[in-house]
Amino acid sequence: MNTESYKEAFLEEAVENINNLNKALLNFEKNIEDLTPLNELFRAAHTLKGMSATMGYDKLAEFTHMLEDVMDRIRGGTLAPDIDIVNLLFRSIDVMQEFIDNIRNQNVDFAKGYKDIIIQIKAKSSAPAREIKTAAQPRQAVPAASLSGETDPLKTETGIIIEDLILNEAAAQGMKVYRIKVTIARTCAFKSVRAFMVSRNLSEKGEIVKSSPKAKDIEEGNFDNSFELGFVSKAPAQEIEQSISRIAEIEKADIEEVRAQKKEIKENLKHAENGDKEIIAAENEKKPSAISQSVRVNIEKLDSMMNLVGELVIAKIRLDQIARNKTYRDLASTVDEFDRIIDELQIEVTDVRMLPVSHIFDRYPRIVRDLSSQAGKLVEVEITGGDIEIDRTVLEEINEPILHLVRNCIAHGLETPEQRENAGKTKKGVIRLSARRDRNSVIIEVSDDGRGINLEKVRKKAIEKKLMPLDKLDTLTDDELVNLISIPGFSTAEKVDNVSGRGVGVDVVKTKVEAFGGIFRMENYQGEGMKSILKLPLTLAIIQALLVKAAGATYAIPVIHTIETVEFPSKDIKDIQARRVIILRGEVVPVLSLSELIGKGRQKESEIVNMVIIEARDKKIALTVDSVLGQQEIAIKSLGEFLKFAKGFSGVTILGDGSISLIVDIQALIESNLKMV
Amino acid sequence: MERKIVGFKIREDDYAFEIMKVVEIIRLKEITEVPTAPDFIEGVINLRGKIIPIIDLRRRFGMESKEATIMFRIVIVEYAKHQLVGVVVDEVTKVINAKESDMLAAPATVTGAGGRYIQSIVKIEDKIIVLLDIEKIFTEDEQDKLKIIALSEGGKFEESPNS
Repeated sequence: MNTESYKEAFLEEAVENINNLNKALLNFEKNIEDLTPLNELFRAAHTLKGMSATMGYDKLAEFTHMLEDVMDRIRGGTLAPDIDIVNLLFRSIDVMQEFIDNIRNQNVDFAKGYKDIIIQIKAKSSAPAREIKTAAQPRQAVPAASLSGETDPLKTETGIIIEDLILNEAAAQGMKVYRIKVTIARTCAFKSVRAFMVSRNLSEKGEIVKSSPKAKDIEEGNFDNSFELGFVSKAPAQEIEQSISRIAEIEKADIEEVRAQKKEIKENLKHAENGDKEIIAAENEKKPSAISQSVRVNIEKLDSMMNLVGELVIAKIRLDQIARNKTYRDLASTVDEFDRIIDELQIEVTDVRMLPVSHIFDRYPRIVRDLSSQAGKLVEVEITGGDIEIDRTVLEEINEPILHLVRNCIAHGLETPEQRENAGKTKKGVIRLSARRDRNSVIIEVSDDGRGINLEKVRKKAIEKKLMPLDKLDTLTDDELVNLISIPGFSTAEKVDNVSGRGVGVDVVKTKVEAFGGIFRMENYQGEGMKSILKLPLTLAIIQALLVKAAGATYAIPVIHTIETVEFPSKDIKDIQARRVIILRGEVVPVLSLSELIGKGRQKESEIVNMVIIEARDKKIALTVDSVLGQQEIAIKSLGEFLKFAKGFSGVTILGDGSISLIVDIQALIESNLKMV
Repeated sequence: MERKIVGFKIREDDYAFEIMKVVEIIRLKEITEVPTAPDFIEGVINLRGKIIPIIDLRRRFGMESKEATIMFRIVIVEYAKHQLVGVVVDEVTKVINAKESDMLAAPATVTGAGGRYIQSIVKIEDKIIVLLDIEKIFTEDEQDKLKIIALSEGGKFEESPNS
């Protein structure tokens, strides 16, 4: 690990702690009498302080130290908390966030206005804050005597007990068992990182079979400054000692070999087999609890892994094709086996990249708190399905769109407390964020119980902006009318405010969601609220697609957009108002030609026309193609920066024969041919 | 100071790229068209699993296109640091050692084919070789193109009510 990766670890942990601070403070704000959330606040601030001091970010350390002080005093009852203090604390968290952003982006330990906050807090608490102690001086000084006494394994026999069974087993395999006591420098703020490095170095040489405290506690840094391990290895003690003390900030590693008591090994094993089965089972369960059960992995590494798996999938498809044409003995079964393994690998890798949506959902209560108080509204956030997992890339991409929607709820959807009371509602409005799985997609809904969308206003605006001819406007259903809002530049808010700006939000949301193959739609409940629905693919890298031929080339249509494929007699395609439509099970569905959409002109149609029924802009559309080749898993490759302005395609994929197929972005394609719909 | 440049021909004219920008040279292979891409983009190719956009320099320079011959090559160059782009040329000639003193700044008045994309003019023996600036070839027009697309889209919304 170099300093850069320390910094990364620091930043990541810092962000976590800031999230925790926000959460705890929100809890505290709900009931200021209850001081329990303060413990969490205090803990997070304390961790952050220690971390930043070790990393040499003295200003941040000083700042958090001051916060810690305030919290300590509230906890201790010498400072009475009120709304001003809570607000100050919220602002302080923002300043910390700014510190972190600046450290990340510019590598400077500074945040605007942090001194200001310090002054305000000092004034508020009207007592001089303590001077910050140097870097990572221990909070409680430990007497030197007890320190040395504690770490001398020869004098104390209270170390972890290593069962005879392990000793015997190790002996049988010619391995030695050690009891290792690792002492980490007291000045170390990354105890868990050091402990992880110890466990990593050790696992190169053998197996950790026991630990005290428990592995989880060590992993989380919940130990004083030393921990003990039971370690089985072939390596001599000296070598193990070296491998540990190589690690920085390790004060010492005391290693003691543990020998089996003089009993016959066989007898012991027998004894174990007979009597202590339960104990053995329990031991075996404990056994894999080596220090680290999880590892932080750089996102880029995951991305490149995903890319490689994508390529592997392509190679697999090619191999499948070759195997189908050749009849070597055992080839088919080997290829099948290969298929299964790659499928599993793909699932595993995809899974590693998954994050629960709470990762972004949890940020909203804090944001809503600030925005709603600015807007003079009372709002509560309800979250369901926070544990639903989705690819981290998708998650990152939808954060902003969801934020837009939440802002809209506050600015436009929800009424002021008086308006709500007049309408017979509770004073407090509710914003609901929910996530659920629906086969290969995740559905995220953002809804509020506000006034809903005023359809009359939408209509007026549509006329004013000349979005479509009047007669067409009249034919729109309420649902279609609502979704007009997502047309670029459309906004129903009469005044421009700093909560939701100019109402450009919804079309940005729609564009963004559609850009990675999702679907966006709104539902309106006049007077009772509205709901935005985002249907998102689970992952962006590998998807199911329908391969079709059009204008002589092969195109891939993501299955998420398709409903079915049909063969339709060309004589049954009707012309209504210069538009081609079919009647599909009683429903009028407009017909578009894929070839025409991509600017290749309409191909001559045979008697039976192949059509893919797709869902685009919330409507069904029958897309005519030359032929449907079938459904297949495809790995998406980007068209690259250079072709990003080629409209209508979201990427490319490489087919089994090495040829390239463009992935059709139905929404964009239709949008750029708006007049045809 | 000598600089190595990779010479190639389009029609009868000699052009070159700086060797440091050239990643590899391959024979012409199947190019997949991207229907909605700008004209001068011929399509994309699959180069060992990488998707690489292909530029047709003839079209770029406003020349008529020509039936591909066996001499046609795709020169894969690096553009904007990490992106690879392929350029279709009539023929790759050879790697030339150009002396710094042989390289002349592009005269401001050059308006001929590819005039806008000249990095410098290289005089070797009695030949004139135009050293092309890769960044200019791709960036400038990409932006032009972007503007055009943006304009036409804006226009669509305005005109749609009457259509």
